[in-house]
Amino acid sequence: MDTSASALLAPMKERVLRDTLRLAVTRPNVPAALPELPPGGEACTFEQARWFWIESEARRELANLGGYLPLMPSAEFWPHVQPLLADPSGYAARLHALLFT
Amino acid sequence: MLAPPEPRTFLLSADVTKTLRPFLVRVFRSEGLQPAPGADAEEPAVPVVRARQPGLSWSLLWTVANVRAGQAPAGAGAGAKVNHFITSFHLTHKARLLQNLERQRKRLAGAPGAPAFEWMPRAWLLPLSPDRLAVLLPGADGADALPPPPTPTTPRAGGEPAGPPLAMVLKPTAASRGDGFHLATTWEEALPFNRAGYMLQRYVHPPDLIERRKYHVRLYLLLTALDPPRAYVHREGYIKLAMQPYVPAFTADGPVSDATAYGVHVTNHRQGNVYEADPYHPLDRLWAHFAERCVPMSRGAGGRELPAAASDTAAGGAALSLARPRGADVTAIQRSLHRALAQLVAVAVDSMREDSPPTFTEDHSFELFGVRRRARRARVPQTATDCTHCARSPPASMPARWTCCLTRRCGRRSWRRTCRRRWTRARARSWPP
Repeated sequence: MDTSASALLAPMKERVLRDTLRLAVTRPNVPAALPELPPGGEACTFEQARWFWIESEARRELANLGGYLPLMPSAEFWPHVQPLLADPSGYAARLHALLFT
Repeated sequence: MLAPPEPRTFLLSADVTKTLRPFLVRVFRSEGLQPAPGADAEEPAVPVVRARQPGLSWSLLWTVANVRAGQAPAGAGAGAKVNHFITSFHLTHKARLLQNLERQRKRLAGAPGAPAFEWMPRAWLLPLSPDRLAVLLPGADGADALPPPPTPTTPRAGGEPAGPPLAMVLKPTAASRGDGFHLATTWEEALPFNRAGYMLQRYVHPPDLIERRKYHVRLYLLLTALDPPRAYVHREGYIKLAMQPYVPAFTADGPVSDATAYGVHVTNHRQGNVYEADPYHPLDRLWAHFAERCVPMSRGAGGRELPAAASDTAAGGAALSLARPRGADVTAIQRSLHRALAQLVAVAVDSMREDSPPTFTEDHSFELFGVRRRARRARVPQTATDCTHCARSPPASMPARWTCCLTRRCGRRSWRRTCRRRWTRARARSWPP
């Protein structure tokens, strides 16, 4: 690796490493709080609650991710998301917009 | 979740190179981590098997090689982290990734909205039977002991129609950094590699070029949990150019003799920096390249790249006269890259979760992956729909991301044939509207 390569790569790798440490190792381990369910959501399944939790976690971490952007698998890998997408309350649409756009 | 022990301490495994240790120690210290008590304060590096010794407490173990199940840091303290998942080979090992990809393809076959997994070129694990190999590779005279070469009407694997012979990449399934790479243009070249431990992969063609060279995009993918999968992609990354200008492996007259040169096709760090210019560029250079390369191409030989100075040559002048301000949809490109990374994680994470030993919880792991991605010229989405070659506009019913020429007045016959074939496929999918 010559100096011209180091001039770009070394500082960039240091920034990536710092963000990695802050995100995966040294960040405060605040217990995740369960989000409030939408009206009528008390009878939701476990999978639905899990997705509510994911949404809450993603929103909480967005403020402290450094240079990282959250990356979530698309809905095609999670068949249980499909019924949520038909939810007329709009909660699922916002969930989908948060996770997949 | 349990709180990590205080103060936070770190340990390096002995396989971290001595040139890398000072960098890691400096960054770790600046982030509030201290060397583990009982280890060398300057370079706290010990073999991984010693990391579980009594009296050696640490919060972070940084290794280069993957951690095996027997080395799981279960006794290292609550909240201790290792920078590897034990089952990350499902993502990093080429054969495993290919098996996981096929598994997901079968699982999602026929499902509405199933992804096409176009981020990975079609690949096959070797060995393949001679019949199978003959379909995939162009035949050659003198193959006495082998079946005859395929006829032009023989369909290629994956249902693709027969066309000009394509180059195939052969590489070991468990190697990296370009070790063992070989580009085959005939099956005589491929036969010595038709054995276990190798894979055959379709060559990305035509590749997108910067400064007439192939390049790859390097992105950083961080995985912090498996269930549910929690992945992040870093905003920063870089592109790296190949050592030599690109030479297509095939022309209409047949294989190009010097097309298999290593520096033409391999763009990773193995090749060194023989290229006189700086081969590393920030991602901004890539976005600028996409934004500027919507200029119609020159019509010279192999004219898939932009002229170096559009006003210097006759072809360049013609290209300049046809140019119009058009911008690439950089946001769409970024979304495409992120979608590919998300699918990459989703493909492997099920197997990673299933194979994780019960004695090792995933809370102990995170892993930073460097992902390389090459751009295929035809796949680069653009906002403009005019032909990149003759600058004529396609019919209004044409999909917006198509940029090919549909008029018979275009000068490049082969390009026009390709365009018409794609147009036929697109119309078959979208008609009736």
